[in-house]
Amino acid sequence: MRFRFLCLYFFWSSVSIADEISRNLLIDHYSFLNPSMGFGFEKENRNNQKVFAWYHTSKEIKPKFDFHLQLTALSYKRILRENFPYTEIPYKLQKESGELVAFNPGIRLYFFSLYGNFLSTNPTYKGLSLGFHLYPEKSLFLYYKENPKENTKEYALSVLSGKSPGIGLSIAKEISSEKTEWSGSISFSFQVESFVGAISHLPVTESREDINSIFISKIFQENKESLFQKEINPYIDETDLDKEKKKEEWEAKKFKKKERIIYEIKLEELLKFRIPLVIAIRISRASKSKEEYEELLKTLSPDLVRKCNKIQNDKHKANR
Amino acid sequence: MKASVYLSVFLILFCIENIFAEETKPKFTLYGTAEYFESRFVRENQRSKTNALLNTQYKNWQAGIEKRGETPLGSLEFKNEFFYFSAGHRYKPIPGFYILRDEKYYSAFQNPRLGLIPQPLKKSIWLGVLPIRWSGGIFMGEGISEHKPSLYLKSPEDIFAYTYSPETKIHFLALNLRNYKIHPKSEGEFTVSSQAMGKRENYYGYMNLSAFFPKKGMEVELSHYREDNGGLFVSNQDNLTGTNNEKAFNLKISRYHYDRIEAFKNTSDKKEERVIGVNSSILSGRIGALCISGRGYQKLPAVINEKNPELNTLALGISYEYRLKTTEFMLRFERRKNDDELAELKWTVRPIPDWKLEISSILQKDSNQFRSLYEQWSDGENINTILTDRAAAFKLKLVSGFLVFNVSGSRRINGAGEIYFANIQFKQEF
Repeated sequence: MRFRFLCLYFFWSSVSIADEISRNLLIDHYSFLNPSMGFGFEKENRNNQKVFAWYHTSKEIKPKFDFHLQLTALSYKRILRENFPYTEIPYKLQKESGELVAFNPGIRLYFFSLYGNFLSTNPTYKGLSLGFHLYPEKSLFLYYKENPKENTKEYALSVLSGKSPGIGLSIAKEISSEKTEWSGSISFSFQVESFVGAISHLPVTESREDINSIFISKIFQENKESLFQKEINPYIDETDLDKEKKKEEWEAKKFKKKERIIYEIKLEELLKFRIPLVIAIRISRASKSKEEYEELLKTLSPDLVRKCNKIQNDKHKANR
Repeated sequence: MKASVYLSVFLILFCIENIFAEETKPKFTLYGTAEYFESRFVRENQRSKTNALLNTQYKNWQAGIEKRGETPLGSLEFKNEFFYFSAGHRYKPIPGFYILRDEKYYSAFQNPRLGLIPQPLKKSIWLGVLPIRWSGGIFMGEGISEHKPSLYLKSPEDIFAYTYSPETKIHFLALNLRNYKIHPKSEGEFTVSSQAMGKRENYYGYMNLSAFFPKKGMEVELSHYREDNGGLFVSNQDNLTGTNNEKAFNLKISRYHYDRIEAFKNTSDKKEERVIGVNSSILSGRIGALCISGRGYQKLPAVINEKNPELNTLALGISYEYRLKTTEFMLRFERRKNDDELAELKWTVRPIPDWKLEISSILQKDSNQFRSLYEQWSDGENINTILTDRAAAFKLKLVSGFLVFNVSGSRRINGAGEIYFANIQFKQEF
């Protein structure tokens, strides 16, 4: 049993970290898919930790046709355990650390997106992601990758939904010459203006422990093109909303305030009330426009406002 | 001497209150319940039980006579602005199910708008002051305080209640604040609902916290329950959890109902079980939503060895769901990496105002390694998410202002038998 466990451990160590994180960063969160920049930290256990950062930019080629480029830099450290079962020293710990860059070019056409996924350290690795942007805040992704050198393949399906809160679900099937394994991830995010904070969790599988990661990003631009325009809120019946709106309109009409009419005031009318000439000129000019007159009244003393209102009331009575 | 003076003052205040009380007609309520429970572990003569109550309310008085099983019982209550007094088997001044409850019976009519039937209690006597405002008093009751009086404290509108028995050191706490808005025009609705009973080191109860923002389509729920020797789900004869000592935490965050992230942890003496998952709609519209879900299951025995290894698996689910205000439907299938399989059905509908029909069902393979999440209807309106290993379970509940009908059935795994439960309750006011 112990031997089997150690074998599993060793197998897990040989799985490329880069492959896994590259997929996760590509399709597991909205902020990765829009022009943005961010950084994060991922931890499996004390011996396996990663720090990553990304920058994503886009350029419009034609209306509703964009070219995207995402660059991800990853730094990792881990402790490998090499087993020597029948010797005096049963295992040897080996520290390993490294960096890599993932290069993800893509295009977005209306509500479809297509991304390639390449790694600087592993040229035989190739990944392809096809995205369907179903609603303004919901996308579905199909992902395929293969690595002929290691003879591995992977299929994944991912759904991303909402912004605050935003949730993500990813289910993947990894096929290698030795075995087939299911894996998955879930993420939760919260967006405040253009900043997004998120946590992601990958449940434990046979070949690794559970992994948790956090990341923070700033989104520069969000794509609103979607196949369907609106998600329906099932907590609210739209017919109720229509009734409420009609009621509000009816009430607004019922209690509508009569609009105040502003009459033009001549200079001599103002001077009769012993208003200083300089101010009287300003009032007379402002009274030609309702907005200007009301703005000016705000700056005048209460006594002057009272006098102006008296003139306006007299004019109103005369015109009635 | 002092006691006689107090008693005289008390009686004078009773009389004054009655003289100035408005002239009203007495109100009578007839209530009845019949229950049937069948399991291979229950004797034939214990399978069915009945309860009938005639309750009358007149001015500040309330009285009831009932037949609970074969036992005739009586209860009396007096309440005015200054005093509260009750004796018997039905009335108490504080809210909550657990305190002094008769574990064999329960009243399903708990909606104040549609008429309330008090919960059946064990023999007790209550005496308090200022029952309408913040009030307090003493009580004595079977099993909790038989020799020394216990104390109680209650807030207005039954939001908070607390009791303590110096004799048995048993505490009881009830909190009930539903759909609370910080400002009348604010969108968010907050609910805090909790009941707990027992000694500090040994108690059972639940706490449900939720925040609901209907226009934003967002809902957050956090719940916790702790079971102790079957005290929590005692009124559910068909206890689907299968164990009598466990505690659980559940967190659910949902957007537009269909998009949910949920985490559940259940801990018992023997093991800890964890479920973490996401449900998301792929296509949604007026006729409902097609959803996919993924869950990770983990089982950690208290002692991990070759016979009890740590188990993990992932699950993929597909479902059709519909929701419009309170109408809800869900049909879901799940398949796990370890070949466990599961099907779930849930339907809630209000065909006419004040009527509600709920149906809930689950089907699992006998050989499933992991227990599945299921919503257990608990006391009153509370629903607790539990883990069940039943191969099949079905529940139906019909609620209206005068009739409540509950039917449930379940099949244990490995042919360990079937359990059937039915409870019908009615009330008629005249």
